Amino acid sequence: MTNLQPFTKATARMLPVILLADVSGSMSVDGKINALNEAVREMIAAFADEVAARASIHVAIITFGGQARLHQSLATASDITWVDMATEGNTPLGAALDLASDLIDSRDQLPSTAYRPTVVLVSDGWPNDDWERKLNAFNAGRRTGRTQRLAMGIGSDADEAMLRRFVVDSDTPIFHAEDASQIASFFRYVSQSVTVRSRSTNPNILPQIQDPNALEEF
Amino acid sequence: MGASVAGEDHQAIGLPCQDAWARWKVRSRPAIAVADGMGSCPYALEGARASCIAALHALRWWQDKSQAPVEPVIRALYQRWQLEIHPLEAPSAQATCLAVAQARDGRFLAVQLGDGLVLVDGPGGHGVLKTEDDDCWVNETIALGSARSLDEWVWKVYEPDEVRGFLLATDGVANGLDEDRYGEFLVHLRDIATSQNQCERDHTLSRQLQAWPSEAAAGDDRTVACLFRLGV
Repeated sequence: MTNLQPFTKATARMLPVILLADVSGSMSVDGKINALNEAVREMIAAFADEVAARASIHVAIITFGGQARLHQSLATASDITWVDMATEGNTPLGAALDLASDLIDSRDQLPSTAYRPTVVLVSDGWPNDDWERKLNAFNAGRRTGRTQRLAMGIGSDADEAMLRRFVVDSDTPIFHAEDASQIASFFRYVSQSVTVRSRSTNPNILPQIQDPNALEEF
Repeated sequence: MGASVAGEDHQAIGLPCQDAWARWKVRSRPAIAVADGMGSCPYALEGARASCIAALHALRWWQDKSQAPVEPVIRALYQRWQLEIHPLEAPSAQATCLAVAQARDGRFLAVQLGDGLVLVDGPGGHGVLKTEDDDCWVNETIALGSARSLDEWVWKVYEPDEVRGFLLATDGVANGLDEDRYGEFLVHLRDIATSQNQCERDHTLSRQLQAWPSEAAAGDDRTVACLFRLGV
């Protein structure tokens, strides 16, 4: 114990990761939802194993299929008991963005002492609610607009233009998964980039985005 | 008193501390400053040193004319910083700026640009100059070289009877401090300041910052400067 121990925080600051997962009916085709569940489960396990971190990785998962739901409330990765996501209905991205905004704008859940959250969007189709207006509001929000974004389209039907509007930064590539196996590669990339951030002097800085065509390296 | 130590991350790659601090006392009127050079800038250390020098020069004018408006002091500080870093480009040497000075009439001026902590020790308790921006995430800061207007600065003039002392700290310290223990931290620092001579207390503070215990800001450069009114 040093002389300054009594005046310092015992725990690291929060590094939030918020996943917006498309679980619409089409995700049940070709094993996509199974691959997504397995990949997210592995990502959370990787975060939970990250003991050298300067920041404490917290994860929240919002699903949108039929309706938007908070599938996993914001919690330390090591405290999460994973429950598989199930597919249902259409693709209400706008409602999911509302839930994400509620979470990010909540000072009780995400204090200003947290590091900049990473918001990850995964979708295999075209959203079909009032998503455009809500995405504009999400991008313009004082807090939501200052989140880091990653996005992956699954299959050839993914709405590339919507994913591009979500990531905002034109230098941030959109990841594409042609099949279920590449979903795992993307989430290994997310795991690695977040854990690198959590060990960094400044966890707000997102590591350089890799070539999305080289996801197999992960 | 004050001290600045390199964080473990900089030590590991052989880089020096990119924080700076300085003190100045002219005709019994003290001033202190701390600065955090932005790690993403190639001349962060030069920017931080220039920030402290510029702050002390600018605040010295205020020390002689404390009834004058503060805005010209801030502008002078920025212009002096630009001169100090010349021929470097401002974006390459960005640094925060936290400083406090006491004027001839006993009043204090505290100024802050960017993150870090200005903690005011008063007879009725303690307070902070700048609360955290609710719309900002931690470690996302503005600095000399990136600030665009006076609105991004925070400053306040304190009457003499409001102040027993000041603590200035860069984010490497501020991020790891427990807000509920600010008062005890001030008492701890005041004890060091009053029980040792200047050389000893700087050394003691440096040694304690070297052994920084908090996970919340481990690895960062760490700088503290304090100004205490003795006998108050």
